[in-house]
Amino acid sequence: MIMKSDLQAVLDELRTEDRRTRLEPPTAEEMLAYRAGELSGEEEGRVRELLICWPELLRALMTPYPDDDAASLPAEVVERQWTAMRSQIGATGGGRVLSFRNALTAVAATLAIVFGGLLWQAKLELRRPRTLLPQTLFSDTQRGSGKTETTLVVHGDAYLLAPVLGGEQTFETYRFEIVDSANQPVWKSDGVRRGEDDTFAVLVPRAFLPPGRYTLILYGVNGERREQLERYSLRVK
Amino acid sequence: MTSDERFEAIYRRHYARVWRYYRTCRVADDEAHDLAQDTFKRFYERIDLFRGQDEAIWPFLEKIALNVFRNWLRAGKTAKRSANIVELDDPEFTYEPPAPEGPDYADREQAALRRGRLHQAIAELPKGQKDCLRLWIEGFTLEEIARSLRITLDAVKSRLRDARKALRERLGDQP
Repeated sequence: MIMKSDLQAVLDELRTEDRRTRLEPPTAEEMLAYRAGELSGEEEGRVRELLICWPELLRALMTPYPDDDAASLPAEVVERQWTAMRSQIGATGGGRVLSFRNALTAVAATLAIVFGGLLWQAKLELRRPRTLLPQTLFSDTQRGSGKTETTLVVHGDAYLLAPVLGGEQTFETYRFEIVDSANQPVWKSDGVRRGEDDTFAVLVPRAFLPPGRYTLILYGVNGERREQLERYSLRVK
Repeated sequence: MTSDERFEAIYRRHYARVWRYYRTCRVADDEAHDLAQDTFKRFYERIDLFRGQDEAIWPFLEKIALNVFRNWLRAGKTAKRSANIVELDDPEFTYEPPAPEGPDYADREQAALRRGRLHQAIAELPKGQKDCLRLWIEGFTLEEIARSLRITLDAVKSRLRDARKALRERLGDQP
């Protein structure tokens, strides 16, 4: 004689075993697709097996939406539930109020966008080619009585100056010095070689030259002897 | 109409039905209310995604309700599920012995052996028969089993008949 209690007990054992080996029930999407017959044969078999392990879900899936007549609840119960729901969602009768979790998500997303943008900008900046355009400088004597100074144009973190030196006299090496309007030195170069086109390439970090007027002085050096050759008036805006 | 006003209208119109849906799934009354509330809370978070008419809301709500129910089951909150859900029409399957007056270890031993044999016999049934039998013991009607397994009603009847026969042959008149 097979007893109902035995059947129920065995059924519980089988369900427990199944759920231990197949941990996850099917997703809602899978269940709805199963019911609609939209799954392939193999998928349908897999979902069916899972549903047999989770008969509660199978029952839910096969439960039609109750019609209005069957869905009777006293009005005061619905009212009580609605009051509870209002307090949960923070509905005020006006616009929607973000829940704490949503607000937190929004802040996190905003921060992620901002930092992502900054990172992207920094990467772009680093990748950008840094070509310094040489600025040709004519000495004060070369320029004559016209403009008395050259205004430096910024192209990055440094100025590439190309002072022109006239005359045939040559030196072992050359040195540059920049002095401010009070004739105080603000920058000095190491030894610089004269180019074939009688110019020099002088790289001056921008940090040394805040806005103001300066003079670049070119010296020719032979051993211990230093001779001032040219002066170039500069202006930094 | 603002989102909140729309939500309230939908809530008031459909709350009882969603609660009833969970009750039909054999969830206890208070938990059916909890699940219905969870369903509408999720719906509130997604209300902007629902673009249809409010009359055609059930497919949208059903998906949410299924997900809520699934997560609830996964969390193992099934303690209140009614234990006595089997409705069998076969007297052979509905026999219940009277409750023993006191602990009888010999009876318990016998019951454990009996269930072990039954477990083994059911496990060895062909898959189609086993699936039908399990759903039948779960309390599904024959029509529900047919729809659930996507087979015909005749196939369900046939499989159940074969399963019973196999179990009788296997277990015989053993206690």
